[in-house]
Amino acid sequence: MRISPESSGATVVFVGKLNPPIFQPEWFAREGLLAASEAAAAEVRMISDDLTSFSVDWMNLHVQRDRLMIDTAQAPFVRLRDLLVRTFREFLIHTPIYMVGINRQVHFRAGSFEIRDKVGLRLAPQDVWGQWATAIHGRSEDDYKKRGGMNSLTMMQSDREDGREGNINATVQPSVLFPPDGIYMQINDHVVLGNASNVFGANGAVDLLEADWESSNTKAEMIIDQIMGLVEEVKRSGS
Amino acid sequence: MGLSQPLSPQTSSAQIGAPPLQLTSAASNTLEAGSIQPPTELKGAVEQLSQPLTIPEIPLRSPNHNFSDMTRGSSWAHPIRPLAETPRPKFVAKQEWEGIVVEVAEDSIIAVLLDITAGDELPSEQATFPLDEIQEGDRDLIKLGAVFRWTIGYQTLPGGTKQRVSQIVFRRLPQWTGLDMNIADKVAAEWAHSFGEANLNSNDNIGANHSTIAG
Repeated sequence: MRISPESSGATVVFVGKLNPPIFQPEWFAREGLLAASEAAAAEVRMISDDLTSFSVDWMNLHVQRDRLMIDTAQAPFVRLRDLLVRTFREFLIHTPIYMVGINRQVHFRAGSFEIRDKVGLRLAPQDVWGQWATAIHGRSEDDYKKRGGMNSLTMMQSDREDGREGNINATVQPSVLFPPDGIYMQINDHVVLGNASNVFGANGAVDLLEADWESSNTKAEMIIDQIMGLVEEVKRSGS
Repeated sequence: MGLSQPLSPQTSSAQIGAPPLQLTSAASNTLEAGSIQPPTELKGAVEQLSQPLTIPEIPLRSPNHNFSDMTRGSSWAHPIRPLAETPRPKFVAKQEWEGIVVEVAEDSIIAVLLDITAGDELPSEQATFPLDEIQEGDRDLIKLGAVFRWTIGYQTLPGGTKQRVSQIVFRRLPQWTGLDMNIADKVAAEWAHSFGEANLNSNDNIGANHSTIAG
């Protein structure tokens, strides 16, 4: 990526039929999936039949009956893949997983509010909003909190190169963590493996993670880099 | 991207994985999937935390809901809020290598390194790492052939302090299971059988040819 992010993370989401109380730090440690010291220091928010939620030093895990979400903002992100592959390949192989999302998130700085504003205008021109356009822009040139504009934009690729069912969604927003010039991007690599009538285990999800983890991340970073390129272009051209 | 505040809670190490849990309240119950919920002020969050917890019924589809929303990491597509999570450090990698241990000494390991950042496909470097640089929790993973990631980058602490960090993390890769071994044995047996038959046929042919030649 041509601009070094202020914050960078990865999230994997499984949609399927899960049993939340299995996913306890002690269980992960006993099976060698997490270090014993990590499990012992885990911050457990809830363990119940409907929801398990805990964090260890480098990741957060949330499991509901129909959804698992694991995320980290600490490199190397491949730890998420390794943990899920081992968990669902070696222990929970019969857990049906219908959909998988491999997500990458970054916050990076545009350099100034003005540049970020112009990037927003390039992505979503305001003049097409007719009479409302002036009001969107606002009356103040200096007070960025009074300046309106693009708040969230998602671009979707539906025709996947790998032939899988699903799509790739790139979302751009102003960063809440790094105002006034921060840009937030999330790339959602969404794959549909099937449904309750034709998916009976986790093999598809695990195979997907093993085969596509690197390429998914490479593609996500390529997409992020396009917007970073736009930022640099706006810096150069001034518009 | 004008200046209005983004509507999504977005990320941070703690927030990227905003759990799909919703605290019940009159306000939260009015939300629908696909709508966007403005960020909750801290005061509101504290008030909500005092409310009883229930698991939300997130509708699978609404008129403006796409299935891909279900596998997003952040929660802006779902009207859900995170449970309180302790802020954690963020670590942005500048350079990342994959290492394979080729020698284990008393107080160090030697490894060959593959430059992940450069997209290399073959190890091109070798380095020695003192055991002191390896986390306690990973020490029992050290052995010949063990795989680790060596990452150099910037760590940002919850208070905002930014520091350059070098970190070694051993990968907990899949183990060979009994089932794997059985499958491998079966495949090997099938291949051996196929090769055996092929060799047999091949020998027969050779024999036939020899016969012909001899004949």
